[in-house]
Amino acid sequence: MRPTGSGRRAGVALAVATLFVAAAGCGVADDPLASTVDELTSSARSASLAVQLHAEGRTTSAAVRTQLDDATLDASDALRRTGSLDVQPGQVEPRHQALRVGADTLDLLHHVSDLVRAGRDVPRRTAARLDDVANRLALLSADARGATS
Amino acid sequence: MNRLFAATLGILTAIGGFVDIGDLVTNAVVGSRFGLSLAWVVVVGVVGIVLFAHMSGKVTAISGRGTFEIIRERLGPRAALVNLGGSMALTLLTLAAEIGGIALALQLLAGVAPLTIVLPLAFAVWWIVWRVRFSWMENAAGLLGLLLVGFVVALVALDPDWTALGRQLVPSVPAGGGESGLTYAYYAVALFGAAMTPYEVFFFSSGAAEEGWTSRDLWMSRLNVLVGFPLGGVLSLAIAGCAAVVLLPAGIAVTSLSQVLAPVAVALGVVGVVVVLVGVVAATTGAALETALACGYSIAQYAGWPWGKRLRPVQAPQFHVVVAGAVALACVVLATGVDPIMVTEFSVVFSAVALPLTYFPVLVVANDPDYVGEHVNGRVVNAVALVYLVIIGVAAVAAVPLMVLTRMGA
Repeated sequence: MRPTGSGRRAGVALAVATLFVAAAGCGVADDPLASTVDELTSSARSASLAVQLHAEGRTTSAAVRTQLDDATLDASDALRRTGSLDVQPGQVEPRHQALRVGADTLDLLHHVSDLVRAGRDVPRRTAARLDDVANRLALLSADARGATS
Repeated sequence: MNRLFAATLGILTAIGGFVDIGDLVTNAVVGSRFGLSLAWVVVVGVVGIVLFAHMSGKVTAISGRGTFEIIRERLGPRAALVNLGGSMALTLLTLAAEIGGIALALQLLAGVAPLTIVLPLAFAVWWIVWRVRFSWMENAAGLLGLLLVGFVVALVALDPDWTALGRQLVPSVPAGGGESGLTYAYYAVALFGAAMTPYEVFFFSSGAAEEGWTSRDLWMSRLNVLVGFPLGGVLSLAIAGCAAVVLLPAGIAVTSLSQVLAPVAVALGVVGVVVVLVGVVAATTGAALETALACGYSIAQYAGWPWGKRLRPVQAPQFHVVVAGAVALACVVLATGVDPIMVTEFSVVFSAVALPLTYFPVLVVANDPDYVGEHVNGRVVNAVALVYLVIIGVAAVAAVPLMVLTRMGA
C-alpha cells in the first residue's frame, strides 16, 4: 500500500503533464477587461430579471431583495476591479467607457434596490434603463475583446 | 417493511448527500455559463460515486469496520493521519458550506440575514445529531429533500426547445462567449468534485454500520447506490438545465443562490420557489448532518474509539465531542463573514484533490478476501474502478493548477 517508486514516478509525470497542459491553455484565457465587463453585464441582467419577477409577483419578496443586493455587490466588485486593471493601449477607451457605464449601472441598481426595499413598484422606464445599460455593457465587452484580438 | 424503510438510506444520500449546496451551486453556475456541455461530467461523477459507495458499503457491511479504521490498518498510523487531516479539512469546509447554504436558503424564504442565524442553525445541527434517532433524521431530510424535484418540474414547465437543449450535450466550449478551454476544464473538475464528495462515502459506509448491515444486506446497498445516486444525478442535470434555458440566453452567470432559484420562479411562480426552497433547506440540512457525522465517524474510527449514533453519548463520548467540535469550527468559519458560496466553490474543488486519499485504499480493500471474503470485486468492477482511479488522479492533480490559472473560474 505504500507508494512504490514507479507509482511516485507516474504521479510526478501526471503532475508535470497537467501543468504543461494548463500552461499551454493560458494562451486561450479570457481578456481581463472583457471578463470584468461581462460580470457587470451579468449583474445588470440579473437585476433586470429580479425586477421582472417582482413585477409579476412570481417569487418571494425576500428573494427579489436578495437577488438585487447580490447583483449590486457583484457590480460594485467588478467595477472596482475594472478600475484597477492594467489594460493594453487599445483598451484605454473601452475601459473608460466601461467605468462610466458601470457607474451608471451601480447607481441604477442602488435606486432599484431602494424602491423594492421600500415596497414600491419599479417604474417601467427604470426597468428599461437596466436593460439599456446591460446592452451597452455587452457591446463594450465585445469591443474590449476586439481590441486585443 | 423494515427493508423498505432501510432503502431510504440511499434516497437520503442521493438527495441530502448527492444534491447538496455544492451540487446546487456548481450545476447552476455551469448551466448558466456552459449550458449542458458539461452534463457528461455529471454522468461520469454519478457512475464514480456509485462505484465508490458500493465498494465502501460492501467493505463495512461485511467486515463491520469503518473506512478510516481500514485506512489506518492498511496505510499505517502516520500516512493515515495525513490522509485523515486532508479529509477532515475538506469535510469541515463542506460542513461550513452546508450550514451557510441553509442560512442562504432561509434568507430567500424569510428575509433573515444569514450571519444572524448561523449560530442557531449550528446549534440545531448539533442538537439533531445529539437527540434525534438516525432513522428519523434520514427519513425527514430525505423525504423533504425530494421537493428538489421542483427543478425537474420547472425544466419541463419552461417548455424549452428540447432538440436545441440536446445539441448542448456535446462536450465543447460555447462559441462566441467569454469562456476559455481552461475555465471549461476547471468547471469539469469542480463538477466532478461536487458529484464525488468523499464525505458522502464516509457517511454511506458508516451509516450502513449504524443500520446494522451484514453481508445479507448487500442487495440493499446495491439498490441504494444504483437508484439513489442516479436520482441525485437527474436532479443535478435538471438544475443545470434550468440555468441553461433561462440564465444562459439572458447572459446571467450565476454567483449567488438567489439566481439558482430564478428559473424556478420564471417557470412555476412563487409557490414553486417556496416548495423548492424547502427542498434546498432539507437537502443542505441533511448534508450538514451527514458531514458533521462524517467528522465524528472518521476521527473516532482512526483513533479506535467507539462510534455511532446507535450508541448513547455516554457510550461514545469522544465521537459526540468531535461532532460538536466540528459544528463549532464550521460556525467559526462562517462567523468570519466569508461568503458561503465561495466556501462551497473551494470545497468542491478540494473534494477532487482529496478523492484519491480514500478511493485508493477502499479499492485495495474491496479486493482483499481478508476483509470481504468471497465478495471481492469482480473483473468488470475492477476494470471500471481502475479507469476511475486514473480519472480521479488526473482530476486531483489538475484541480489546483486550474483553480490558480483561471482565478477560480473567473
